[in-house]
Amino acid sequence: MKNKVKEERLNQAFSQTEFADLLAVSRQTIHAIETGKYIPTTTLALKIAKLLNKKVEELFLLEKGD
Amino acid sequence: MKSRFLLSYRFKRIGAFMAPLGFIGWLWAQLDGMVPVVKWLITPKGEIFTHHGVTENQFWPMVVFMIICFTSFLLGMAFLIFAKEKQEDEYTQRVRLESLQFSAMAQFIIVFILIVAAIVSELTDKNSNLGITVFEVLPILLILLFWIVYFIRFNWILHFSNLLTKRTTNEK
Repeated sequence: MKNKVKEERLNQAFSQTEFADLLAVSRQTIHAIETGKYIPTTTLALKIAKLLNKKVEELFLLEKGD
Repeated sequence: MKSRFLLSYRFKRIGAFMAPLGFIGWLWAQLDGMVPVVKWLITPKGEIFTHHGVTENQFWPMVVFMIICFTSFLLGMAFLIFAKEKQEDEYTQRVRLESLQFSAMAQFIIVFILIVAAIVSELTDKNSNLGITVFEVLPILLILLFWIVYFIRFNWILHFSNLLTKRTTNEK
């Protein structure tokens, strides 16, 4: 699964720290999501989508083999 | 691991002092570092058995010191392992769970290799003590190995990713 979280976060001028604080998670978590090392739970994915004013499926995209 | 079973983050700081200090103290005592201290503390009462000029009657401060140090090391490790991270979230919990799985697998592989090495050594060399040594230290090895591997793996992943995060933030 790939995602556009970093792209959208930068578009909306959030730093990783601000973004993590607003979501009440650590910066490591945001980094892990952005680099594709970690796929967030539905709850966190929905929170991210809400914060970025996007739909979950616009941020998280299935790849072949998923 | 459910975070309600974990200790507060404060314990991590306490453990960070206790574990290394306890280990260094225990190692120092093992390497006869306490011999001059004991000589200085206690006047000789009998010459039943000597070890670097210290009689058997005088060993108790050394033993007490070693017990305190090793307990401090074990407690410190327990605090480091069972304390929450500063920000405990779902990613931390996943890394925690993966580290437990990794540690269990590493423990199994290392113990398997040790047992095979002990059996081969006993079969090929009749004077070998490896088998007895392995089975003597196995219980403590099983416990320590599991938690030390877990601790290293868990902190490596979190710390390493933390460094990367800092670099990414700076790049931005």
